[in-house]
Amino acid sequence: MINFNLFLFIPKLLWRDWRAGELHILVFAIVVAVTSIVAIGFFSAQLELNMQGQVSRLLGAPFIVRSMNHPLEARWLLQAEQQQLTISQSLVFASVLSTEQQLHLSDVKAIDDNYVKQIDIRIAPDFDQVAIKTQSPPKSGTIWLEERLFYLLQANIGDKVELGYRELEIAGVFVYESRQSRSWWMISPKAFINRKDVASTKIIQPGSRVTYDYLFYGDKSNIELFRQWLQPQLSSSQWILTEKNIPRALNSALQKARDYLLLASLISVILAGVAIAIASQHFSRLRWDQTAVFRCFAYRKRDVLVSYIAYFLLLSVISSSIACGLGWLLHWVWLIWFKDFLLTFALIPSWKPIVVGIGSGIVVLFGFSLPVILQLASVPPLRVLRSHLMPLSISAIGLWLSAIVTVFILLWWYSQHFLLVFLLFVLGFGLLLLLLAMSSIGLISLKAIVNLSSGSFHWALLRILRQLSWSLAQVLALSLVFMLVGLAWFVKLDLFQGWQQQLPSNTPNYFLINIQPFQIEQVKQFVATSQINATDFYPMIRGRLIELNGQAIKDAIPAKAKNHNVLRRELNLSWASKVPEHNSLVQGKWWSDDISEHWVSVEYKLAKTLGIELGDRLSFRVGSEVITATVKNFRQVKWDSFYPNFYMILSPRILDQSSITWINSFYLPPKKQLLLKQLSKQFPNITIISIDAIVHEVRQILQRMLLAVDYLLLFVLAASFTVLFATLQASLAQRRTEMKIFHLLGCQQSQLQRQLWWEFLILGIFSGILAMLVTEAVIYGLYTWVLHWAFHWHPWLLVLPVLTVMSLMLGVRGMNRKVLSAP
Amino acid sequence: MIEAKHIKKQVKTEEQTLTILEDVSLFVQAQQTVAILGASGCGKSTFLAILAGLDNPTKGEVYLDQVLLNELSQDQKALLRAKLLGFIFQDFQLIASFTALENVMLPLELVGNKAAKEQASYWLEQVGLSHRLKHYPKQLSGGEQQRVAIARSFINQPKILLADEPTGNLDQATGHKMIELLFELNQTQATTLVLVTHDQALAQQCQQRYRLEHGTLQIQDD
Ligand SMILES: Nc1ncnc2c1ncn2[C@@H]1O[C@H](COP(=O)(O)OP(=O)(O)OP(=O)(O)O)[C@@H](O)[C@H]1O
Ligand SMILES: [Mg+2]
Repeated sequence: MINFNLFLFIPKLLWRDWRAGELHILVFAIVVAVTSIVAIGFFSAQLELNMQGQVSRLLGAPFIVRSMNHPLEARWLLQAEQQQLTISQSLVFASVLSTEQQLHLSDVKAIDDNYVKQIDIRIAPDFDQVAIKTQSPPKSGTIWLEERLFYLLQANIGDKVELGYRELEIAGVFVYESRQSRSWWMISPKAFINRKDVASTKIIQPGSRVTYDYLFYGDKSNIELFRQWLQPQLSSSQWILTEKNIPRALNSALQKARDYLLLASLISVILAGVAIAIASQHFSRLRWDQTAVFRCFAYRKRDVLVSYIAYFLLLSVISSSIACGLGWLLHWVWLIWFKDFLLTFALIPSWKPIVVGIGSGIVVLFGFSLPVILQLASVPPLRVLRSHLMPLSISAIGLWLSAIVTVFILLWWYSQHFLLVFLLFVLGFGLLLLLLAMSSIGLISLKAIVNLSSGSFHWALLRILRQLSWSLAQVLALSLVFMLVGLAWFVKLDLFQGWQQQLPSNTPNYFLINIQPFQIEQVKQFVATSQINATDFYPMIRGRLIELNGQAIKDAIPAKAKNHNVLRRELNLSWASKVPEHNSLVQGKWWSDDISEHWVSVEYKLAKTLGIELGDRLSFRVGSEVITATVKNFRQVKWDSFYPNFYMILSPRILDQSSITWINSFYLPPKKQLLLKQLSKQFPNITIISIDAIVHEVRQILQRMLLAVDYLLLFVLAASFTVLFATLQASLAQRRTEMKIFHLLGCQQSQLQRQLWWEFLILGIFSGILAMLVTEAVIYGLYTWVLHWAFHWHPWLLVLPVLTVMSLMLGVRGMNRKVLSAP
Repeated sequence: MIEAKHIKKQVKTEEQTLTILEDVSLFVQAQQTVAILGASGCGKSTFLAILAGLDNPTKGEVYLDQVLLNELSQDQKALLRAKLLGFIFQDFQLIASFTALENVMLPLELVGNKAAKEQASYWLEQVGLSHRLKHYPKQLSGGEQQRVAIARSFINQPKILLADEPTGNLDQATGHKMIELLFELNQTQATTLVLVTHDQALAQQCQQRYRLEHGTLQIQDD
């Protein structure tokens, strides 16, 4: 039977303990820990919201359905309208545009009124005039053309072009569209017409290749409902556009940012764990005498259990609720700072941080204090007479195990990323324990110099050795905190460096495609003489992958790869005699001069997905010809760079030289733009594609993220130092009585102080070195197995021990005044 | 009311087994007052703890109000204590984070008695501390702390009161007053009193006096 009176008593008890100051450290630890979880959670949620905003801006809408060759069913659109969604449509088909002099293939996009309301399309009335955002689609009977189409068709504003059965008047120069598709460097020149004119061209017949895009706008929850309703009904030629459909450079930048946010939040949760663990240990000591008195009166074992569970529950709910409020406020302060960078923000971007915050406040506190509560229940009442009577000692292993398991489950649940959490634990924690075992040997070996030492140093050493388990616990806690600091800091540095490398100032902003074999030498010369920063020239031909080891490709690959894009369309094949720039070999060798066979080099990830192995034979259909080559090696490709990238590169001289064209990309600074005109005059057939806009866009987004992540790091750091402070406070509080007694017995304050300094200096050095080693190991694991970033050594990690010792000394300095001056 | 039969208490220390109580028997009738005297370290507190069920005897039986303590679990003993017993500890055992008033309220609060506060103020007034209700043990002198402990032991109006040197820290006048209170309780509430004391005067007021020596209890006749 449960004694319900307890539930009235517990809040009083809580209040009295608080009033007496016994709870301050614990509450402080919980509040700081949960505040940082909540603030980081909210902040990440806002960033996520913004990333989604960016993505849907680039895609054109929060929800887009693409349908190949057939429009969506009318009743679906009706359903969307019933759910208060606005729909805008575009359809794209490839068709020949012709003037009297010329004809050229282009991608024609038909748009409606709604489309221009939602999408930023910039049109210039004529060349050399400023492009402005258009408010309406092309008037019926008119067409907008991309600049290079004017050259290709030798047309001017006001001229007529033929599109199917329809004659249209050229009414503007298309300059920019905020929607960015992924395959920006393979597209034909663009033309825009009004949606209403499509029928009159009579181009679209059953069976013609048309891409229908349906862009849905409206309330988030309505869109979500509609998505859930629609998704199961889509056919195989209809799909939802997602992040994968935005330019890779951006997609990968966003992904990296997300990975970092996740890591930072995990770090904040672990920090919380450390803080609460230390504080609750400290706190439980204070409970022993009290519990013994309770047991002398009416308390049964069960009452002790129930009341401390209620006690801790209440404690954690109250402190985490306060922390939630604080966390929200903190994140709000950030937002105000950040206002100019944000596309959108929400008052409460997500409830998850609150759930996670309160949840981890409760879960962590219980994980760490349940063993302590069990221990309290075993406090014998006789302790009131014999204060040396201890409660049953709980096994340290049990305590750690329960704590580790709790935190592990919490993190796993929170991140949904088993590998990441597993790695943090096994590498971070496991290694730390291992090193700790080693350093305990190190500490013990200090015994040898105890007798040689003298003064405060001697006493400090003695104390460390006498309380070896306490000292090791300190080292563990400190090195854990500083490992997390190191992790957050150095991963951020790498993230930034990666982003900067991804878009150096000479990132290519133009592509030249369709260079004919007979022109290649001249073009190379042109590039050389005009001192343009260009990539190598790559030959390019389109071909379809049809067989793997003589078996039809669809049957030869794993089932889950069957829908891979690569199988649906023709690939750009290239060949090279050396490894292309910005590519690196992952497996196998380059062919160099070995031309005994036809070789192919395959992009590493694709090979993995399709289950291709070294030595396999791949067949491609190129035009009417079939080429078969043996897989020689796997390459890693920087998809997020703006260079020509290829899934498949063949060894030279396999392909028929006549049907190929060449491609390259280069960076053209604004002041050299005139070269473009020269280039197109000299080589009119070459297509020049500007990706200036997208490079600019990506760069801008990265810059925002950079700032955001910097602030996040600041917060992680602030949280760590507060945890450090809590740790020190807890361990110094234990020293208070002891130091007072020593002082009364005649020890000089300055001597005690020096001893304390030495002690923490020794512990600090040990923890700092441990933290440094473990950080590097965890970074290695993270990059290799989870994030797939390139690992390199971090010599600057040497700063970590210095930082540890310094901040420890500062902390002790601040705290120890209090210790010594306490009454 | 209290019956202890052939109590033996041994404790194991690291080197040897120490016999604190050899063979102690005691019978106390309801409403009787008994004093236990003895040199320091002779085992008085230990014996009292055994009577209260806080400690287990190595051998022998203890009955409180006809209930055999030996057969009860720790939890049952706790409930019995709540119902029956008041205890004044030699070193008071006040809870540091509680004020004087809250310390006195504690036994009633633990069983959910609504009148805890009134009762506690009443008893604190009785021990002459009505002006120190809000003070913490740390802020009280040893004697004042002892009086708080006395007030606390009275509050659940126990049938049996075990007091371990209840006047050890008090001056004569105050000590005298406390003793008066004890005996008043004995009269009005029919409380059985067992006192451990060095104070002959106090011992004299009791109906029975025992001396604990060499692990055995002898009736002391003057
Ligand atoms: N668990 C134990 N381990 C070792 N010795 C013990 C233990 N419990 C009691 N003793 C010893 O038993 C003896 C009796 O202790 P007890 O507290 O009962 O004495 P006391 O008569 O109350 O003395 P005082 O008048 O000083 O309060 C003491 O010498 C004490 O050291
Ligand atoms: Mg004693």
